[in-house]
Amino acid sequence: MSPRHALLPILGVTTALLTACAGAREPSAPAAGGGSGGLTIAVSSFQACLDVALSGGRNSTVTHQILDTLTDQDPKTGEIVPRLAEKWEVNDEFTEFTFHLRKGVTFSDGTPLDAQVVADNFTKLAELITLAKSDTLVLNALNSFQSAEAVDPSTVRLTFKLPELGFLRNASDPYLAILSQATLAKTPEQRCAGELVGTGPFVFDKIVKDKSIVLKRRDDYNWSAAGVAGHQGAAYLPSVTFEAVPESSVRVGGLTSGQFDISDDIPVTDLAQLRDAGQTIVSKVVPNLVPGMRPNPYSPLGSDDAVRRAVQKGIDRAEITGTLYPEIYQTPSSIVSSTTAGWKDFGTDLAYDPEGAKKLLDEAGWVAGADGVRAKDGVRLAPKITYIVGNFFGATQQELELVQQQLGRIGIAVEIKANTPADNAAMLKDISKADYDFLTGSGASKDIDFLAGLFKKSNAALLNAEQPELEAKADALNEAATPEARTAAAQELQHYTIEHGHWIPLREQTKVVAVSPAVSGYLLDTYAAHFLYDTKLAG
Amino acid sequence: MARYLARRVAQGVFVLWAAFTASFVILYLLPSDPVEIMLASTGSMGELDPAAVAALRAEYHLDDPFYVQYGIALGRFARGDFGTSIPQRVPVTQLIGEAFPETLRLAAAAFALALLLGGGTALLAGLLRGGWARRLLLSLPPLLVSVPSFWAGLILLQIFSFRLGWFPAIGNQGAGSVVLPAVTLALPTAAVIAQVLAKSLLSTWREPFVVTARAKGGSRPGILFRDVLRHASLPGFTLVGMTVGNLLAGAIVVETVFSRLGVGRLVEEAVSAQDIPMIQGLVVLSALVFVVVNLAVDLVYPLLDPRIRPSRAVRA
Repeated sequence: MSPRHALLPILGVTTALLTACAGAREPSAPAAGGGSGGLTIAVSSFQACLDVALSGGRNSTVTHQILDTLTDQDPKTGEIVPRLAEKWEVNDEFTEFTFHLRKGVTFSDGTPLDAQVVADNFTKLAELITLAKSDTLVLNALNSFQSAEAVDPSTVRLTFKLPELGFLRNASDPYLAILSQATLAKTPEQRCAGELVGTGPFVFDKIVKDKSIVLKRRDDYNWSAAGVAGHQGAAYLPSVTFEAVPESSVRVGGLTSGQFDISDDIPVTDLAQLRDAGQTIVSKVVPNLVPGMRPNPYSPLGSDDAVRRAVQKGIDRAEITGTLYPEIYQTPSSIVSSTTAGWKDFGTDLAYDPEGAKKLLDEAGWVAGADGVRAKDGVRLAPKITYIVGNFFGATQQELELVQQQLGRIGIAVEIKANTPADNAAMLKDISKADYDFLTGSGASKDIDFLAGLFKKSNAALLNAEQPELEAKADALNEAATPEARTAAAQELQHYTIEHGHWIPLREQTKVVAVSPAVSGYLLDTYAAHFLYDTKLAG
Repeated sequence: MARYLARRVAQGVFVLWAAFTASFVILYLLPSDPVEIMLASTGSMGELDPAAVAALRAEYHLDDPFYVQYGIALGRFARGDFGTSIPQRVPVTQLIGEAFPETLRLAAAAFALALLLGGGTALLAGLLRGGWARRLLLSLPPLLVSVPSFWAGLILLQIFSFRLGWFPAIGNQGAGSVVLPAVTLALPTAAVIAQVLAKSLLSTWREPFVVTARAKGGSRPGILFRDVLRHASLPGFTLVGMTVGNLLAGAIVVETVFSRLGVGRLVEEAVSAQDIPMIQGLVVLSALVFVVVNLAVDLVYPLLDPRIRPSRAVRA
C-alpha cells in the first residue's frame, strides 16, 4: 500500500458523508409566512394529539382554527353568543338543550352541517368516554349526558340526566366542536394524527409531526360568529404555519429577525427586549383554577386547619407577581382566575397578613424554637411542598423560593421538593402514603362547574379523605339547579377554600404572545387561544 | 472472512437483545406508569379517571405480569415491531423511521465537518515546528470541548441567523438549515479528534522510522503526510466508533435548540413522558447504530494496519 492510500479510507468516508449531505438538499425553504401573505407562528410545543376532544393538553391552539362550536363566548363580556347554532332553548330543569342550527354551513369535505351529524357527534363523544379515549374535560362536560336526537334537519336536542347549568358555555369550548360524519368514523389514532374535518375558517394543509403544521384558508367560509369575529366571509390570511420551537430564546430571536410573525409563550424576562425591538405584546389571563398549592389531607401539617390558614395569610402574592412577573401578571384575587366565569373578587381575604398568621399559629400552640422555626408536640412546622420541574401550569421553583422566604419570616420552614412528571404521577397514586404536605398545580379551564370535581373527595389529590364541610360545599355547586343557586354555591366554595386554605393561590396564569408590527387584527380568545380569523399581515 | 462476518453479526444480534432486555427491566422497575403520566398531563391535577387508567393499562398490557409483558414485547421485537407510542398513539417504528433520516443527515454533515476541522487542526499543528502559533492551535480543542453545545448553538443562532440572517433559525428544510446545527454538533467532536490525532502525530514523530526518514533529509511536510499520518491515524480511526455516540447524544440538545425534527427530539419527549415502547425502540436503534459502526470500523481497520490482517497470514 503506497502512503497515499493511507488517506483513502478517511477521504472515502468524508466524501460519502458529503454526498449524503448533498442528497439532503431540497428546494430552499420559504421565508417567514410561507410566502404570499401567509403567517408564521412559533409555538413552544407540538401537540402530541391534534384532536382536542381526545387529548387536549392546554396548548391546543392549532386545532381551534379548523373547528367551529355550537356556541361562542364574547371575548370582552364572556356572554354566550350563537355560532353554529343560531338560537337555542333550554328547559327549566337545565336537562334539555334544543339547538337550531345555522343553515348553509358545510364541512370542508363538502358535506352539509345538519342535525343528524351534530347528534352523532355527541353520541360518538359519549362512546369515546366509555372507551376511556376522551379528554377528561369532555368527560366532565358530558358527565350526565343521556341522548342526542335530530328533531328535524336543522334542530337537535341534547338530553342530560342532571341539570347542566354550564353546558351552553361548555358548548363554546373547542373540546365539543362539531366534526364531519367521515371524521366520526375514524379511529382515535387517525384523529390524533390530524385526520379531522370541521367547519372552521381554516383547514389542515400539511402536518409534519413534531415540527410544523400548515393551515390554509377555506375560501367559501361564511359563518363567523357575529359579535366575536370582526368580519364576515373567508379569513384574511391565505395560510398559517405553526412551527414548534421549544427554545424560548429562539422564539424571541426569530421574531425580532423577521423569521416569525408571532411568537407564543414569551418569558417575562424577554418582554422589555421585545418591546424595544418594536414588537407588540398581547396577553390574556387563562381561565382556570389558578396555579397554587393544595394541602395533603393525610399529612399532619396539611390536615391542620391553623397551619393551612396561616400559610394562606403568610404568602405575599403581590411580591411574587412583582418580583417574578412584573407588568403583565396580576395578583390572584380568588382560587379561580379573574377571566373564569363565576369568579368573585376575594382579594381582601388573600391579602398578605403576617401578623394574623403568627397569631393563628400562636393560638394553635405552634411555638418558635431556638432556630426560629415553630414546633408543636415535637413536630417541626416544616411543610414539604412539591412542584413539577419545567411545568408552568403549576408553581415554579422561583415562586416556591419566594414562598419559602415569606413563610420563613413567620416561623414556617418550607422544604421544596422537585418532582418529575413521573414522580408526581407516582405520588398521586396513593396520597395517603406520599411524603408531602402541599402539592402544586392548577385546574382545567372550564365553566365554574369544574371546581366541584376538584374539591370532592373522589378527586385523586383528596383520595376519599373525610372533610365533610368541603364536601358539602362542592356538592352544593354540583347540585345547584338554578343559575342563582349555582352562582351562590360557586362563590361560597371559593370563599370556603380560601378561608380554610384548601387551595393556596400563587399567581394568575397568563398567556403572553409577542406579535410583529406587520400583524393586525390578532387577539387571544376567551380560552387564551390564538384567534386568527380577523388577522391580517402587511407587506 | 464470511465466517468472521457471521460471527460478528451474531454478536451484534446478541448486543441488540441485551440492550432491549436491559432497558425493559429498568423501565419495568420504575414506580410510575406512562398511562398515568399521559392522563395527568392532559387533564388537570388529580383528575384521573380510574376507568380510563384501567382501560389504557389493559390496552398497553401494563397490567399483565412481568414475564407476559416481556414475552409480548420480545415477540414484537423479533419482528422489528416496538408497539405504539403511548402519548402519540402512532407505531414507534413509523416515528423513528421518519426521524432517523433527519438525524442521520445532521450527524453525517457534523461528522464530515468534525473530521475536516479536527484533522485540519492536528495536521496544521503537526506542520508547525513549535512556538506560539502551535501552542495556540493546540489549546483550541480543550476550549471547544468545554463549551456546552446548548450555549454554542444559541450564540451561532444569535450571530448568523438573528443578526446576519444568513441561515434559518429553525427547521429541516433546505441545505442552509443544516449548517448551524451541524457546526454546533461538530465542534466538540472536532475537538476530540484534533486532540487525539495531534497527540498521536507527536508521539509518532519520535518513532525510530521517522527519525530515519528525517536523517535521510526528508522535508517536514513530506514526512508528515508520507510516514507519520498513516501511522498516527489509527487511534483517530478507533475514535470514530465512539464519536458516533457523541453525535447521537449531542443531537438531543442540538435538535431542541434548532427546532429540528429528529431522533434527539424523540428521545427527549419519550423520556419525559416515560413512553416505554418509544424508549425501547430508541435504545435498540442506538445499539444498532453502534453495532454497525463498530463492525464497519473493524472491517476497515486491517486496510490501514497490515499487522492486524489475520486472513493474509493464513493465505501466505
